[in-house]
Amino acid sequence: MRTSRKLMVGGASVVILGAGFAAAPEAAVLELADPGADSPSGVTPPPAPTPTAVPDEMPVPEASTTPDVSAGATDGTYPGPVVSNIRGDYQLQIVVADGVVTDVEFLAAGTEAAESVSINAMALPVLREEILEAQDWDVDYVSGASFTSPAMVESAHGAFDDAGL
Amino acid sequence: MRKPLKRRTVTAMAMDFTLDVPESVSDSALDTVMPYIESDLQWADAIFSLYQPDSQLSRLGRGEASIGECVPAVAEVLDLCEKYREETSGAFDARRPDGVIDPTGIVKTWAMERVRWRFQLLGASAWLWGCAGDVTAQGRPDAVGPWRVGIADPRAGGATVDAVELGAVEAIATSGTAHSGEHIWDPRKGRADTHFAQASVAGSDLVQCDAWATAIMAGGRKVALAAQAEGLHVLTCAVREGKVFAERSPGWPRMQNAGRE
Repeated sequence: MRTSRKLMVGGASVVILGAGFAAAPEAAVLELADPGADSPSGVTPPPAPTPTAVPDEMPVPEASTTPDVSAGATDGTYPGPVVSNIRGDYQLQIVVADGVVTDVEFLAAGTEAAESVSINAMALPVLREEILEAQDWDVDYVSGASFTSPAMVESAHGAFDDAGL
Repeated sequence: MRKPLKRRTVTAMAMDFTLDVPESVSDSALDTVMPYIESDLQWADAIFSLYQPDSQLSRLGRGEASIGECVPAVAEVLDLCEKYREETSGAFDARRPDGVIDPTGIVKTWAMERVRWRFQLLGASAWLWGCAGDVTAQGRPDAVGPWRVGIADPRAGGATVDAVELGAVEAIATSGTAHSGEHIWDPRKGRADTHFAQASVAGSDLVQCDAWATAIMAGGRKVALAAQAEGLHVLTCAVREGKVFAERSPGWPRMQNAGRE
């Protein structure tokens, strides 16, 4: 990747090459790598949209978890350029602390609501890390894994049947 | 405050399926429609159960019946399995190592979607239909707000760690492992996040969400990233040192006041 520089986000989660959004045809590149994660099933994600060139003037600070290459990064908040396409404007900003990108914020993502991005299939292939606490919300339903596979349920079903219960 | 709701529960496949509707929906409508829904689900179980040796799927697996001899639903479900195997680049795969096709992973949500048309017969402006981690809804229950779905704490205990609103998305599927403590840390790789305790996927089609949630549990982070190319939203949870480390896609439909209450 000729003009790209790497940003490590949240320690090990996301590597952004350049800045911008993969889904925006005339926008710059957002690519993701998955360092060290060998998928057990050898899965590869669907092909990413074809990367376009990263404009040289794009103000991309450099940061990494590896100390020797993070030397150039200065702490602060770095808004990326606004990139427009037919679906709207796209802009992200990153927050750098101690030479590491600690957050990626989507200032604009094609719709008015920055967080309602990918309803229009403009999904940004990125994941944001956070620590969640158990809280009480007023919800109508709780979606939780049943902690039993359907096969286990069937097996239990059979055991009950065999036991005549 | 949310207006009171009515909840009905039916049991099939050894699981409880719950339907929530506004209180204005009449009991007689519910009493009429729910038995049909229950019997639809039990029919699906009778066809697809791999436990029952005389189910069509069991006979198919043993080579005693061809797909053409099974009810068309069998081909439909197997086609869906193939569709999601391709869509997830193989992370969702109903084919067992022994060659038997086990579509159990999506039969439940397929059956849930299949009875969806019956809810129109209730005359309900809104309904929410769920079973364990899988839930889909339509409409708004009242003027207070859209349907709200909590995401269970993967450490169990009945708490929630996040909450989303249905509306822009109509379906949520959560898949988890039996032991969230497993694969906590892999010293050889120096990372732990390929093994999630729980993966939730939000989208418009419950079966698709279900297949992708399963695929993410099997394939890890790469698959969670790939899901976004399909227009899906993802929340993954890993548990390390008693804390829930989550990763969510930017479009995750988090409840507006989530995290501040």
